[in-house]
Amino acid sequence: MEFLKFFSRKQENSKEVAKERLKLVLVHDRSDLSPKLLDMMKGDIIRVISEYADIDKENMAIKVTKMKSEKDIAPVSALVANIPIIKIKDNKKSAI
Amino acid sequence: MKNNILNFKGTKDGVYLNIKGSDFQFINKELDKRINQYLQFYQGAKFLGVKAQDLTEEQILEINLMLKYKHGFDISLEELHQEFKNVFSKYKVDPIEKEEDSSQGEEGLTKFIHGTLRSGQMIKYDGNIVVVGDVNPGAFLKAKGNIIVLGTLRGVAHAGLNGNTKSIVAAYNLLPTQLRIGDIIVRAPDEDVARYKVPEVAKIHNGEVIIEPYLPNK
Amino acid sequence: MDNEKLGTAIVITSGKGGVGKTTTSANIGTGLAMMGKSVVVLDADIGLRNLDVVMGLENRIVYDLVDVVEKNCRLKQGLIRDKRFEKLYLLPAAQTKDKSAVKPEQMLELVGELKKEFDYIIIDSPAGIEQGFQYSIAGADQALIVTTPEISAVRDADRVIGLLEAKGVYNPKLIINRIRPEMVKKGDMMNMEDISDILAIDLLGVVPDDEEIVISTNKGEPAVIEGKSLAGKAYMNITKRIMGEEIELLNLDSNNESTFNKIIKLLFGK
Repeated sequence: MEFLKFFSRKQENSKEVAKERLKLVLVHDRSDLSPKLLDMMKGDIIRVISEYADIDKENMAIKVTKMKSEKDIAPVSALVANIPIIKIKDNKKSAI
Repeated sequence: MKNNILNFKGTKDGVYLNIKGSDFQFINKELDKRINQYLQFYQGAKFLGVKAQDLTEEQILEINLMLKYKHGFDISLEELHQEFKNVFSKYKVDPIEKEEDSSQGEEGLTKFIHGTLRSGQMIKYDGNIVVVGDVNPGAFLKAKGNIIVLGTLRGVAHAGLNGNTKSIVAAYNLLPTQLRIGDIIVRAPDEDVARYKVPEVAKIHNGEVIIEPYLPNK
Repeated sequence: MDNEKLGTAIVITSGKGGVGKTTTSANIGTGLAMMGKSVVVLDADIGLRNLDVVMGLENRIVYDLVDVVEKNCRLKQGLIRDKRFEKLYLLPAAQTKDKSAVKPEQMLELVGELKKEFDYIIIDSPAGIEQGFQYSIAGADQALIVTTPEISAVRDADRVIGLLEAKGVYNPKLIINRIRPEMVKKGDMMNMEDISDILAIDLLGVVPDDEEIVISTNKGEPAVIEGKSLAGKAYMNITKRIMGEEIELLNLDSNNESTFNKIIKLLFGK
């Protein structure tokens, strides 16, 4: 079917753009958290974790999604954090 | 002088007033003239009512009302109410509505609306309504009297809100969703019909709403 | 009617306005009546009623939903019989009132009454998620979410699904309206898989964007009656699925696909 690609036009479909934007919007809609609150949480999490480890702040991601829980019929919100750790710090605090 | 037109008759329970003849005006005058005599004679006796074969129920009611309110007879309100009911049952309207109807004889007041009435707007008025503008679909006019639209009537118009079947609905361009006059409701036919390109008047004729073109008398 | 058997109340809702709730309500209601069911379509959009004109019954209205819940008239007086189908009735919304005129409890009672008499009660909910939405869903057993393939409509649909769940109306079904097959093919419109994946609810049907809908609305005659247009067929299929039949999704391409494409498909099985 390679030859048929000849007929297809632009690579980036506007539908894909729509889907991505929609997913992003829905993540926020589905949680009751405002972006501002999420930012504050992110700041706090960074502060706490930074005490124990160096983290890649650029590439960390915190988001809220809906998850189907086992017992409930209605989905529940869950906070999902992806925090790349560069190096664990010397465990000074626990030593004290 | 005919003395036997008015005749108070005492029984062991109380007093009746017998009235003969049907000349109501004459009876009224006689009653005014002679009432005091009778009152003195039968003082303290219980008044049992009016008997008059030749008078209508309305006239008997009127005499009762006069006896009570002009001459101070002891007639209970319940009795009067019953008589009212008897009289008005003939017209199939409640006494109160009947009173308002009589004011319609004087056409009532007229409300003027300047501009277009849109969907969801309702004008209700105790007299006539004149709209200098259009009435759009979904708008509602309710008048106790007549409705005149100097434009296009596409909404619902209800004239003669209290059952006055003499009311009319007229419009420069009469295309109502629904028309109501008195208690009669009609709607536009589902299929298209030929229309006159002239103002039209809707009114009740033989119990049906008819629409006729308005043709000025030449 | 059998006293023990109760009808089903289905609310048609969307969140966003203008996605085709009223058209969908009229077509599903009419479709069910065509299948021999007794149906009431209930216009819950007080102050902005439209189901009456879509069904061509606007000139028959004397009493409305508010009159019925306020008991200014008997329920039977408020129901307008359709001019084509004997078992189809419309309960119109009031036009001169607003959404505060009906409370959820009143709606619950009314729908309960209707369920005793009819097989299906189709409730055309107003746009938005305020009062009107709240009372619309009060008596509903099921919900159908109407959306179009646009971000804004899908987003609002998602919000409504969440609100329905919060109110105890679970497993809503999705109807995607105004799909344009040629745009989907080009990749310029989200297709039904995209949308139902994102919303994660069952798809009940897809209705193509069809000029015939405009024409049928002009005439006050739901497209499902004529049944020749793609949209009319799609609505009939949706109706049958509501009644529990298993019907494959309509091939929306069948009408405007060129012979060339068909041959390509035959040759390459794509």
